[in-house]
Amino acid sequence: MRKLVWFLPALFIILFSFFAPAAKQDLSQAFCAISSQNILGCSPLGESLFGQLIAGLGETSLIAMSGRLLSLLFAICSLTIVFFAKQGGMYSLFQRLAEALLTIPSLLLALAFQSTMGGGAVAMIAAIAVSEWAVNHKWLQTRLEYYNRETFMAAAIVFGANFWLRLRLHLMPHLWHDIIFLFFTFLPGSFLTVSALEFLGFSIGSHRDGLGYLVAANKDYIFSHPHLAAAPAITLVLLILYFTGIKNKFFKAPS
Amino acid sequence: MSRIFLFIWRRTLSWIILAAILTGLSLLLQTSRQGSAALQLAGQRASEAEIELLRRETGENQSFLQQYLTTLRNNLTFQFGKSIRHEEILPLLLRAGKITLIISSLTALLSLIYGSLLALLAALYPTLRTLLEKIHYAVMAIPVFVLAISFIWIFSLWLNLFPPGGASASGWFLLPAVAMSLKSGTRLALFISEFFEREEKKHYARTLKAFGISRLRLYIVHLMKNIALPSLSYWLVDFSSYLAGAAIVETIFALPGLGSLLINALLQYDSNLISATLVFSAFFVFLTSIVSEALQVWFAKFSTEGSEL
Repeated sequence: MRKLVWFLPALFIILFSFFAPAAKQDLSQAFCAISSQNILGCSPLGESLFGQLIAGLGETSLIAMSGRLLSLLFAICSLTIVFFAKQGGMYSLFQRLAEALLTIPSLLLALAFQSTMGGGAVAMIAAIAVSEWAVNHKWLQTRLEYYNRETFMAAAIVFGANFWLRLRLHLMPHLWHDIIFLFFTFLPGSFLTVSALEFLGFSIGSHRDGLGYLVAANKDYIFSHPHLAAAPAITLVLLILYFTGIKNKFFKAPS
Repeated sequence: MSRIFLFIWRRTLSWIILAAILTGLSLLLQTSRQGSAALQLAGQRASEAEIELLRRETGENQSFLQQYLTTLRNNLTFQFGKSIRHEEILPLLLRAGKITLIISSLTALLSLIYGSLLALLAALYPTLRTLLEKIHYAVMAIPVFVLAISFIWIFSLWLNLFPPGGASASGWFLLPAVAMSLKSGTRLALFISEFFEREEKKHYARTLKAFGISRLRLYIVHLMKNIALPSLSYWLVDFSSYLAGAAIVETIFALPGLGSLLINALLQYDSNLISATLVFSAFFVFLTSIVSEALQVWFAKFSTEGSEL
């Protein structure tokens, strides 16, 4: 119940911000001051900054979360292959691939992947997923090997539990906890990668701008209108702090 | 001697496999991408014949396997060939790598100083430990580009202490390095602090306390020596995050480092340069992992847990 109280408002805000109408451009309102109609003032193109923040919040959150989910899905798939392959060629192929990808900073990998696939939400989600796959794969594989060595697994084998039973009753409940923990542990990192990509100019091509893009676009006016760049930056920091708080409160590291 | 030879042989083999995978991945990404270097160079008004000529020049008319083998040979011998602008890639990489290395090394040094001091303070004054955790969460939540822009605003535009960008003088690297080291330093401080807490509970530390050793001496002379190995390993492992951070700060501070080089290469469809930059960056990280392993062996001699008493 406590989890629900923490999660539901966040889910509501993110979904609302994603479906909220985009802020309209009105050049006559460029750099307008803070008023009751424009709570945070206006952008250089006369859009309501508050409206832009709401849209950016939804954009950045959904891209980061989808990328994170997809990367975990990739890791689960590769782990399944590794699990069945045991020590064969596929096993060492995934090992080598994960090691190779771990040597490249995830942002550089995401940059390379994003530019290959071109603009668009799918490209950015895939870039996040690919750049974070190696860490997830390595983590889950280590955990799987750890559980396989545990005495309860040995006992299950001795008592005649078949492979599927062991997987369903003994491995999955433990791994499920690891997967949820992994999702929330690296989610702030995904927010940082998405915002960094947006900041470097790799947008998803829709009429909404992510929080990173808003910082990049408004940084030129930092001397005359510092709040234009500060507001999206603070929103981004609060978003990351919120999810870090959720992770620390509800998801402890597996022993 | 044979162990050293075996170590070098294993690491060389790992590097060859790593380079082969990275070359394959970067080429695969480039070939599956819309557009090409030839189209980029030729421009919109070029004829089919001109594009074909450029495709031959850039090697894009070759099969994937041919391209892969040529690029892999170049990457393994560190020759790298030429970019689509007919520039030798190796000097380009060395020039950019030098800048990234300066920023990364300065970041590493600053984070080590800042992290160790912060951890020592938190250990000496336990009330600061909770504060350190809070600072850690706050700093980790701030994207590096926000830190960099804030620093430009404060130190360049407002206080006029540093120039906002450029790479003509080494002193100009300080601002990007400080922006990056703030995150890694805080991370290191928390890491060292955790180890201090664990070491403090061990028998040798308790015995030293019982003999009336001062807290400062206990931490600096005894505990620091024993946690140096894991801290240094962590510090070196964190090196790859400096490379990622460098890509962002280089863009903000207009520094022509490896990150900027990669972004430009991606925009120009320069597959040779992309592959070379990725392999070169991976080589940096690979080297640090070897240094980390060597340090572990070297430092193991100096670990004094229990032996001094």
